[in-house]
Formats: sequence, structure tokens, C-alpha cells
Amino acid sequence: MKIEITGVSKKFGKKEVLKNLSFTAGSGQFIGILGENGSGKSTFFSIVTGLLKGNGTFLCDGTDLLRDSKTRAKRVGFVPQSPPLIGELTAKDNLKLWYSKKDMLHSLECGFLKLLGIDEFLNTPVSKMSGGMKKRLAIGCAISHSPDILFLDEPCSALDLPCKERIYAYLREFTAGGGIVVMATHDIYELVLCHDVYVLRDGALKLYSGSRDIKSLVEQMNHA
Amino acid sequence: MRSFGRYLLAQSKRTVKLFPAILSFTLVLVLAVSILLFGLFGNHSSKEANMRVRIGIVGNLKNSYLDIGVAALKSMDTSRYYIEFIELDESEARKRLSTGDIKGYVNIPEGFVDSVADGGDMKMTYVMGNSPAVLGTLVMQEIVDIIGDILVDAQCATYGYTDLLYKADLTRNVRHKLMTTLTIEYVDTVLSREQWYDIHELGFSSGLSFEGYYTCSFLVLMFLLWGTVCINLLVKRTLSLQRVLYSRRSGAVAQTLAEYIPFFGVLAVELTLLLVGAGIAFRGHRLPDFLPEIGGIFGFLKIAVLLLPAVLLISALQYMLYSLTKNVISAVLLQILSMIALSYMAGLFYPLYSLPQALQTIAPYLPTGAAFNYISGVLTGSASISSAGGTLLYAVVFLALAAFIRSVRLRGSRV
Repeated sequence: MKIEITGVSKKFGKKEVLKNLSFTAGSGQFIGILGENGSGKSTFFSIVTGLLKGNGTFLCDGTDLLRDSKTRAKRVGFVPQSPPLIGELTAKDNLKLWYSKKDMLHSLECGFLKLLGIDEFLNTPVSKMSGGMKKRLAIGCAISHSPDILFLDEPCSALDLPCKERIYAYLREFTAGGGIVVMATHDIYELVLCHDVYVLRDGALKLYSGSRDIKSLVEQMNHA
Repeated sequence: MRSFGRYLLAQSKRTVKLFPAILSFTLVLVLAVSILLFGLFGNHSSKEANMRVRIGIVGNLKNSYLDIGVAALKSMDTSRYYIEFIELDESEARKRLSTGDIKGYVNIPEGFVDSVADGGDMKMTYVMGNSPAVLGTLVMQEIVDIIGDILVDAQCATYGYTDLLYKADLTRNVRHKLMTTLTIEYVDTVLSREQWYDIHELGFSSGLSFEGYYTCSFLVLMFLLWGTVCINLLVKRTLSLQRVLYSRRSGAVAQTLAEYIPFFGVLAVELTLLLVGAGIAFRGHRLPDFLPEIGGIFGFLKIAVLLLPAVLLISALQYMLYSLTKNVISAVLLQILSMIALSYMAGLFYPLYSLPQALQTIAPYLPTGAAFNYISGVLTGSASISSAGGTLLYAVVFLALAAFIRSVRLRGSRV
């Protein structure tokens, strides 16, 4: 499986927020997108997940997912920055919004929901969950349809290290299974997970490829 | 379709969890409104009112004919606006006028009736306090005219037959006997007419009485307030979940319906519970005159079902307003300001006929006006399928607007 995002642009009025964003990724790859607040990361994610109209193409095995909403809904999973959960309901009731009963039980027993540790707080109302639990549950909801491509917008912000490790473990499993992860982050240390790191600045995407050496990555960024 | 069903189920579960809090707030509201209604209507009797206009009569009433006239005054005027005539001397009358105990007094000068009978121009005087309302002056003028007419007619009648008897060739005893008989007959005829006019109330509109009009108004206001209580159910601080649903092909229309149906369900259940409760409370008791014959608990249940189109209209309006806001404070402000404005323009606070003509024209087309007209039709038994259809049309329009707003917000807001 291969994805090619080409020429994604977006204007709000006269202001060009995204300028011709492009990158590619193959099966098992972990792409990191680094950017300041307001740099356009969320806007980019909104476009590729079909929430905003934008120019460009998003090819996945030859199918333009920006135009084919049905295939996009099947193959793309999205975890927004604010967890898409219903506060008054339990984790189980929130999962029922996305899973059939059979699939949910199977995943809780031996699938990704088990890996995320959601079985530990299944009957806890969302309003009583910690931030880490909510993030894990949000990821669990996003993968209910077994997507091939996962977009995550700052999935580990405001989480402690053990919680982050749990999420990273899941993401490693996901990519090891052939999935593609595209993660937006502020945290430079999360980029250790990534195969390719892009920086979004002034509406443009620049590749800082290959390096998992944080020190050299920081140096490259400082010299940009 | 599957995602719509799952989202509807999730929202319904959420509504069930919030229902106890919503119902508690609603009961508090209903209690407050009931106390207000009782205070307004509780001691009110539509036929035999306690409003008594007290008028003083000042004059030398030792004249027997004048005395008959005053007795006629006291006995003939029984009506809704009961006028009580009190015989006073002038100083007492002035004193009681200044304290407001009487509205005014009529000063009948000595020889007034004789002067009138002889074609003189002696006048009686009506003295009243400062009346702020022009209407008060007009009513008092009418009362004075009535007093004058009755007194003068009564005196002229007795003088008339007295003159005839004197002119007839009768003995003194026979004349005296006839005069007594005629006087008694006259008094009997006059005094037996306890009520010489009736008052018919046409009501405000659609055949509603005062109480019926404001019952309909309160019902509309109650539905508006119930919807305000459901803020936690409907205000969306973030559309994060809705955006993910949208990315999974659950569009704005499906989301709107899945959220609105449980909201309407809550209001429908509350209305049914309250009316059935009212049916149990009123069992065996006579309902106030302004309510239709309801016929027991099942009758109240039927009324609840008949009122559902109005609930649908109001709740759809409120859902649409909620979709415009992103936080609790702006939601509350928008709901309350809209409620006050739409209620005033529809004539819920003041009768419609007292509002400017322009407002009277547009009121039936406002959502609150349409709901009021439908409810008044239910209470007067004139509600029809077409009027229910009108309310449903409003609901569809508001829900369509809400879906459009949701669509714009989904595409416009940040994740």
C-alpha cells in the first residue's frame, strides 16, 4: 500500500494557509508532522479526512480519497485533538457507537482495544476518565473499521510518559501490521517513532528525512 | 443508516441519563408557574365578581319619593360591576372619597326632583376623586346618568299617578288606598327587576376567555422554558465527535435528526407525565370553566397527544437556536432573549388586540403565535389536521435550518 498526497492547498479568504503540500508514505511507515500552533496542521488533517474542501489529491493505491468519500471512510481513521467522545456515557457505550457488538468483544479480548488497555475502564463514564484514558478510547473508536491509514492530531498532548508509551506501543503494532500513521505533534521527542519528519511552516511542508537522532533533527531545524 | 441508528441510540442513552435532572428542573418550573396561575386566577369568579364600585348618595332622602328612587337604585343594579350606593352626609362623603373608600358621590340638592318635574334646570352634582384613566371618567358619567334617569323616572312616575288620582273624582279614602296600591305595585315591578342588563364576554380571540387566553400563553411559555432546561443535552462546546461522524459519512441531516429525536422525546414524556399527573390530581373535582371537558386521566392523555405538534414546533425552534451557539452562556442568552421577543410579539404577555396593528398581522405567522393558535384550537375543540400540519411544517423548516447550520459549522471549525 502506498499513499501520495500531492498539491494540497487551502485559502481562507485572501490568506493562503496551506501551499501545495505533498508527501508520500508506504506500508508500515510512520510520518511525523511538526508545526507551531496555527501553522495549519489541523487544517491539513481536515482536508485529507474530508471535512474541508481543498485542492490537491490524496491517492491511495490509485484511488483519490479526496474525491471518493466511501473508500476514504473505509480506509482512513482520524483521531482529532479533542477526543470525539460522549461525556455522559461509559467507554463501552462510546465504543458501541463505532463497533458492532461482536467486533467490539473480539477486539477487547485479543485485538487493538486490548492492546490499548480499554478493557480496564470499560464501564467508566467518560466524564470520570483521565486524559490518557480518553485519548486511548478515542484511538480505539477511530480504528473500529480497521483502517489502513491513521491520522492523529497531537494524540499524546498533556499525557504522562506511561500513558504515552501505551499509545506508542499501539502505534508501533499498527505500523508493524502494514498500516500508515500520520501524526501531528508539538513534541519533538515523539519524532523518534517516525520514519520521516516534516515541518509545516508558513503553509509549506519541508522534509527533514530519515533521522531519528533528535539532536541532529533539532540542529537541522534550527538551520532551516 | 447503521451509523445513524448507532448515533441515535447513543444520544438516546445520553438523554436517559440526563432525564432525572431535566425532569427535576421542569417540576420546579411547573410549580413556580402553577403558583403564579393560582395567584392570578385562584380567587377569580367569572360571574359573581368581587368588584364593587361604591358610590355615595348625599341629599335629603326624607322625601318619600326620593327614598323610593334611591331604593330602586340600590336594588336594580346587580351586575358584574356591582355598584353599591351608600347614603352619606357631605362631610362623610368627602372624607371617604379622599381615602378611596368610595369612587365618588352624587349630591342631590333639595328640591331636585320637583325642579325636574316642573321643567326646572336644577342639577345634581357628581363629585369624584382624580381619576387617572379617561375610562374611569366615562364610566362615572354613565353611572351618574343612570342615577339621574332612575331617580327622575321614579319620581315622575309617582307624581304622575298621584296627579291623576287627584284629578279623578274620588273620595279621600279611596284615593289614598289607590295611591298606596299603585305605589306598592310600582315598587314591586321596579324592585323585582334585579337585573336589567346582562354582560356577555366575547373573550379575547378564538372564543377564549381571559383565563383561557392566558392558559394558552402559559403553555407556550412553559414549552419554551422546558427546552431551555435541556441546555446540557444540546449545547455543543466542540464538534469533535460530529466531525469524525461526518468523516465517516454520517452527514449533518442524520446528525441533526439523531440529536433532535431524543430531545423531542424528553419533552413529550414530560408533557405526558405532567398532564397525567394533573388528571390524577383533578380526579373527582370540577375543572375550571375555561378548560374543555376532559374526561378523566385518559382525557388528559388525549390532550397530551393533541399538544404534541405544538411541542414539536417549539422544540425544533429551540434546537435550531442551540445549533447557533457554542457555549452555555450564549445558549441561555439566545434562548431567553428569543423567548421574550417572540412571546411578546405573539401576544403572550399582553392580549394581541392591545398590540400595534403590524404586530397583530404578523403574530399568527411567528412560531410562538402559531403554537398559541394551535393550542387554543385544542382547548376550544377547533384544532384541525391542517393546523397540526402547519406546526409540523414549521418544525421541518427549523430542523432543515439546524442541519444547514451544522453543515456550515462542521466544515468551518477547527478540529
